[in-house]
Amino acid sequence: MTKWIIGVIVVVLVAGGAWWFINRQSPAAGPQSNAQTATTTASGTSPSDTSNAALVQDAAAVDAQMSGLSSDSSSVDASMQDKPVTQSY
Amino acid sequence: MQPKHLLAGAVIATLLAPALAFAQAGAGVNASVTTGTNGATVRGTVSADAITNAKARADQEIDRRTSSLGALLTRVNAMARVDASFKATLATTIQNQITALSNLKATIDADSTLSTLKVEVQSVTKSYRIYALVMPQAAISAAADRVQTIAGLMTTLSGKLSARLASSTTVDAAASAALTDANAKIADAQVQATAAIGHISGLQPDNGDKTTMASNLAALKLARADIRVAQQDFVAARKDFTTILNSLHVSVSATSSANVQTQ
Repeated sequence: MTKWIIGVIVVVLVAGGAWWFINRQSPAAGPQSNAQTATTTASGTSPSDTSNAALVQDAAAVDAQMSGLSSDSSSVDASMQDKPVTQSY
Repeated sequence: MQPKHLLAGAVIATLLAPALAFAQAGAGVNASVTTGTNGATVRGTVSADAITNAKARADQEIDRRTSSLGALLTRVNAMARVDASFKATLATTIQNQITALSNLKATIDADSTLSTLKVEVQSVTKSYRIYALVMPQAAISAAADRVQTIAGLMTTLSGKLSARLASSTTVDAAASAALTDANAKIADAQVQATAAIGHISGLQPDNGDKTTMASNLAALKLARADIRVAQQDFVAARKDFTTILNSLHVSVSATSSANVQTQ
């Protein structure tokens, strides 16, 4: 009889430990998974997304920055052609 | 009335006129002079006009520079790809210039004599040498930073296009060649941007030294040429991408082309 009681206690302890172990692992897996899916390129697409929509979005991001470079280049030219207001005294 | 009396009255009136005019002018520095016969009064008014004019011109130039430097400081602070130390040095230099100009303007506005104002206005002219270097230096840095940003975006897009071409059942030689060319252009643009920063990062204001002025100008021109080459590289790479996208039957005309035209 005593052996049966000890056996039941051991089974309950093992089952409880297993349940605790599984519950402890699950929350940790969540953020890791989210971190993986949150990785995107500078244009907002996933690095592994080679769909037509992603390609179009990536190309649009390139074009927007190239437009900005044109503006930057104009600023360079303007800064090198600057003329001060003539001073008098 | 006797002719003698008339003559005496005319002489007295002539002698008193300058004194009356002086009293009138003394009421305010901007009062107009109508007699034109008293040298001291005319000089005083001309001096007041000169002070007003000198202050207006100095303020106009200081405001112009402060506005340009402020806009450029915002752009410099947004740079993400250049060396952090170089960026910090550039931002500090610009901020120091803005502060110096603000202080100079306050001093000029408080000046009341032409002699002291002359010294301050000369400072406006002298400080232009710093401004004339910092502005293109920062503008080129911002452009070089943008080149690196575009290179990153294009590299990502190139990788995706490469994957798509690799998974395609048919081999498009033109698309493959375009991809190779695009990658070469992206790499060259990055080299140009690095070279542009290298040309300008160590420049110092000339302080009136003609040799330094000439070498600074030469370095700025080289850097500007590098940025232009990088820009042309990107235009060529973008055309290559269009070739590849067309090969993959991906239409980008409705989005990306529109962005280029409107921004």
